[in-house]
Amino acid sequence: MLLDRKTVEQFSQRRDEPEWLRRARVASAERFSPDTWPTGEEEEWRRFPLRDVPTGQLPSPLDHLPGIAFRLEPDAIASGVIFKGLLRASLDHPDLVRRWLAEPPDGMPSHAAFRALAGALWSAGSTFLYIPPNVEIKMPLVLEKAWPAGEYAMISRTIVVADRGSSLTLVEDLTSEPGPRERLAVPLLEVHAGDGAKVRYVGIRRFAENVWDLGTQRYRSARDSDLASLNVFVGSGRTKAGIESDIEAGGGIVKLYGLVAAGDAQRIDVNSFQDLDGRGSQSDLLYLSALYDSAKAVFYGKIRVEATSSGTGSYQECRNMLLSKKASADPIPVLEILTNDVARCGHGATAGALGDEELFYAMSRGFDRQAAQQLLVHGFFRRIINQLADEHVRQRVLNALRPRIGNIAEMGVLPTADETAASGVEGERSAPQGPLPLR
Amino acid sequence: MSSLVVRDLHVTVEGKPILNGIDLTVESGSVHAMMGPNGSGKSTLSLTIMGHPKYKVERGEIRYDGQDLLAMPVDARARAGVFLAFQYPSAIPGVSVANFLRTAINARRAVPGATAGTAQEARKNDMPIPQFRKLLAEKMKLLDVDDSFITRSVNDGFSGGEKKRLEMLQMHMFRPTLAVLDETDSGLDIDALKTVAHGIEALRSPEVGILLITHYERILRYVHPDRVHVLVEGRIVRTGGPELAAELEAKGYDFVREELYAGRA
Repeated sequence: MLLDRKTVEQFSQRRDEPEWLRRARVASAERFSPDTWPTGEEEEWRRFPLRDVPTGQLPSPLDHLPGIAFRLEPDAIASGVIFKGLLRASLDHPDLVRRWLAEPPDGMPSHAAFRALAGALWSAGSTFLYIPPNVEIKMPLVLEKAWPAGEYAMISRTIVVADRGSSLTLVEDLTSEPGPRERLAVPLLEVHAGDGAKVRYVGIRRFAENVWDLGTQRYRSARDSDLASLNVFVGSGRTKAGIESDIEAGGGIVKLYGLVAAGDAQRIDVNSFQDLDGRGSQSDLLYLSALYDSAKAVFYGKIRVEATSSGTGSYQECRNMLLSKKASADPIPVLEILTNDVARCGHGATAGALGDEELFYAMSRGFDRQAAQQLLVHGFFRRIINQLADEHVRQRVLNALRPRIGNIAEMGVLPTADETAASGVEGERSAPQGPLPLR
Repeated sequence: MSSLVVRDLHVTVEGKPILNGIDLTVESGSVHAMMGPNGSGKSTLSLTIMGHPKYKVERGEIRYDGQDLLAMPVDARARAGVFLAFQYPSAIPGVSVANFLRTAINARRAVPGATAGTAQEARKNDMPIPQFRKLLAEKMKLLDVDDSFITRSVNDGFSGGEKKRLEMLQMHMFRPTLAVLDETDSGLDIDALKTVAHGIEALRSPEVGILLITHYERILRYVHPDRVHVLVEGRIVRTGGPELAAELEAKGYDFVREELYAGRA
């Protein structure tokens, strides 16, 4: 599966793109080569059925996704926030977009081919978000990206640039209509958190079952920035996600959360790479999986503490709850510590069945087996869900999880903060359990 | 009037016999104390009544309210009115006490078989939230439970005393007609013991049968049983009135053991 220059040029011409953009696409296409395409021997790809990746039509006939809406408050527009389709933004703000379109160096080599593919053929569903210095967007920006049925690949690129001192929350909810033929999705996300910027990203991936999701994400953190992301993996028959965080300067804080709820014969394979540099940077990852039927989760995660760093803290935690005898999980942590000056660095990984005693305890209270199981999975996931400060975002995440883990939203029983004051009963918002909330 | 009737109950755990022929009837409205030394089979009896899969019934029967309890899954036993206060309750991280209590109450009230229908159909018997809150506030007051308790995750990081208190709170929220308390008094300081005893006494009513399983006579200073049984090596070796507890307190379990062995010889 390779891409010739001519295909990319024609693709760009059909879309009436400016010359600089066409050149940028061709430059990406050149990196999509036999040298970057994984062989299957790589540690990251060893456990993935690479040979079976569908090789359908790569260029998309679709320039825009139906129903996609870039909603911004008037204040945000006035303060110079740009929130548009990537092509539109390239035409309207060529100087700005051009700067961020070029691929930053040193990406995870294992996912170079898929970054290159996305760089060459991004189309419908691609997004550009720019927040000027010191602008704060309080309401979460929500993008529902729904691809219609088809056989062409769903290749998109989302670029988020939070300039110094700015803050934002972006939610991307990715879905596709089911279809009989297997097809590819390559969503590329690039997030740049500027000096002191605060970025929250929630990605809900619920592609249809015929989809192979080979998306990658790159998070780049400048000095004293604060970045947290949550990926919710519920869809696609096959997922191979590359998640890369690069803390380039001191004081950067990164939290990478993930929720995996997989069933049937789904396979969710995640590679993470947490790179830390600078003084006192912090990078923590927490992935929780609930695996049903014969689903399988693979997690290959690496932390690298750079030689030029000092006093950094990092952790990688991966917990897998197996809800069927056929479900399985393979968590593989790797630490590369290139300096002696480390405040903390570690990992924890588990995979195990639901506890019999816990199940018996819940059932003795009147829950049938299925409800007891739902309750325990719900509790397990709460550790991350409780980090979501925004109620609508939280509901959206719960809704996405519901088909797999059950009707858990209805378990919310406690009064809201306002009602609490009136009734004297405490609200449900207990103290956050994680090291840093997604607030 | 419902009663728990245990007949000739033989139970093994991993092939090892633990209960060797238990006969016991607990009428509603009465409090029975089951006393016995460590390893006598007290917890096995309570967990078998509730239906723990590890305990295998080899012979005999357990009926409650005329129903064959042994043929019922664990949750059906709970919905039939049986409650077990665990000696070692499990933690459920991420599920708040309040959330757990209300969903459990609603699970018990759910229309049987309605899970296959719409969510609304299944939920039509749910306890309304204001009623739930009122009930909870009432029971928390009765059991002297701190407000902070209900937002914490079920038994997660709870002290031994807190766990027992939560078992009592659940017992009162679920309003069982048969309560089996498995060493709820063990490991409690005197104040907690008094609260637990108060909780048990407060449950006492003509509709409720209580089986209080204990190692020590101490709690019987605060809870007054109608009948006292002594369990040794998987058999009830003595049954009597409250005076039997006092006798045990004075003489220890050895005297029943001696009687038992003398009887065998």
